[in-house]
Amino acid sequence: MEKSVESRVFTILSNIFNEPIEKINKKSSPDTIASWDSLSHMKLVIALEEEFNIEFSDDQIVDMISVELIFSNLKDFNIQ
Amino acid sequence: MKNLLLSDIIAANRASGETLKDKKRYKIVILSNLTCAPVKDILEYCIRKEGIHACVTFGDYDNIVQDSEKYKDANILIIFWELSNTIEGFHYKANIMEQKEIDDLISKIKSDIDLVFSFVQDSSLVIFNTFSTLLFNHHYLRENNFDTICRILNGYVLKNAPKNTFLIDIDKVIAQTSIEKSVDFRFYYSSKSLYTVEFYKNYSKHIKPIILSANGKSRKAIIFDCDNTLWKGIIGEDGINGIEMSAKTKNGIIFEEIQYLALELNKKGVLLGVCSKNNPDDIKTVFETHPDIKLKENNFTITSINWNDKVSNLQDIAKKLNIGLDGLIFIDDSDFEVNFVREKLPQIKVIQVPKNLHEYPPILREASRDFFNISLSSEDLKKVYEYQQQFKRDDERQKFVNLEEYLKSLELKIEHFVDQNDLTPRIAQLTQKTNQFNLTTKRYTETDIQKYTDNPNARVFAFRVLDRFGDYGITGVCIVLFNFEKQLAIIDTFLMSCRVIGRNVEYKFFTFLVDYLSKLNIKSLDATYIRTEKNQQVVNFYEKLNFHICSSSDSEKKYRLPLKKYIPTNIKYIKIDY
Repeated sequence: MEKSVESRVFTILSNIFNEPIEKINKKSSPDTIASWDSLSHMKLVIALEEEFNIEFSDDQIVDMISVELIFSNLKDFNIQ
Repeated sequence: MKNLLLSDIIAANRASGETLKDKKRYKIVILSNLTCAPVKDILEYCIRKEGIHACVTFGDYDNIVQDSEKYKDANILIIFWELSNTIEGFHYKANIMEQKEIDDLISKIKSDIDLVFSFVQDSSLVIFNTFSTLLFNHHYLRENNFDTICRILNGYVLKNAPKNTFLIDIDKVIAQTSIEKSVDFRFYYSSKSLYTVEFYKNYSKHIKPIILSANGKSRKAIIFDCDNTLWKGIIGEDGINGIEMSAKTKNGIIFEEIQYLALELNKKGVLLGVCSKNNPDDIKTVFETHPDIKLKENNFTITSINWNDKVSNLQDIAKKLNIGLDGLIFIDDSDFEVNFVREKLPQIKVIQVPKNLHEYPPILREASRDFFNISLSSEDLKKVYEYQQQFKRDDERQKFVNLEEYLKSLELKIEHFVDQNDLTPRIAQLTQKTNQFNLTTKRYTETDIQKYTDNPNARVFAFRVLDRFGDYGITGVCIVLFNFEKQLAIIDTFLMSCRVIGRNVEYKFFTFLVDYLSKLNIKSLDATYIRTEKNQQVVNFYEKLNFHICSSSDSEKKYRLPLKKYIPTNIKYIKIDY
């Protein structure tokens, strides 16, 4: 079975921020994940783009500072 | 790694860090005026795959000059100096600047370069990426100011880089990646991060041979099959007139290039060998009489032409050359042989001659990166000849009944050197390459050795071994540290090239060493054996010399020898110069 978008995004966050996957949820953001800083945010963006084969715009990159916002931006690419 | 996603690389890298956590760290420090965060996981992963516990840290952003003095304990410094960010917006501002302003900036950057080079010259090893304008200027037909500045500065860097500094032509990495895939301007404008994951993957792969060589992991010999590998055709079926290896024929041209590439490697000190299922006389005839053959028998250090299986033959070759299987590359055209060797001897890098012959020379050129050596010394070039002398000696050896008698017949001589500057490259190379007879396996660069040579509380001994068949060259190193107040000396490094193992020269040298130390009023000598996968043969070396064990664990043993307890070895058949 193909993995859900949610679990793919959670796996990426877990890898990039070195957090156990159980600790990641829709409410996760730089406030709940200490290692989510501007440098790791860049890695996160690259990893999401690689995973879904898309390219975010400048505005989307700046906007995606929580898991909820990541999902809403992925929706713009019809990924949900 | 090429097809791995960044997220997977990060996860895999974390896992390999866990696997290697008990191994000594190989410290890589990156100094940059760019944000190069993604390179950390990619470079670490690329090097950790080879069993080296690479750990990357970064200097402060845009602090190259100041930081180049700071990281003295780094094993390697990598300098990513981005010209476009030397002053904010340099790549577009430069093109409307007046000459005076340009000249001032060039001399400012030159003096920064001077400072960096003077700070890093005693670092262990340095990689400096040359400046590039490619990402910004590839559209233009004419050189503009920014290009000119770049060209002048690269000329300056080339002229002034210290000996421990490797210049990496970053344009080669960009070319391999493609300009479009090398750069992500979104992050350049938002975070001063220029390069992509793709670029860093290729960059890591590009510099890997330098790091492998510094860790004693470069390969040493390349072994060729013959038919359809060194020439087109099968000698046993097509006959001497039916095989092709000259630029005059469609297929021959490929094999001419292969033979030249092999000659080039041989010239750099890589050992060549043949491992072929054939009649030895047929192959001999090709090497001796074929009008187009470029490789001659004397280019090959070892040949194994028989009908035995290639796995046994390759094992035998490694043994005769006295190098590990991981020092070999093997090339063959047959699916069967390639798969058989890959399966049974995974340490050997096996290359299959591609079905599309035009791919063959580039594949060999890429593989030759595995032989890269950070210290090129004249010893390398002599090595090929020395191995041939070695085989003559082995023939001789069979005539004598006992080893002692044989050793006597060799008329061995040792010449010793203390703190001799011109031997630094060779000594560094020996510390990097020697695995078997190496008590502590500490890898040193030329700069490291130079520091010991200059230090009054250290002596760097080197010795050369000669016998009646020829000169083995500089083949032994011993670095001793002193605590004169305590009348104590410590052996930091003691190693010998495998070329001179089994001749008892180590014992003769040791007698000399003890004598030398006694004259300096040293009363006791400390030593350590650090276990590696390859130095089992010297596990009891110090016991044999009457050292007593102070402490012992799985990974190391520490010893002490009160010098008056030393019993000099009475080896009369080796002469040593005093």
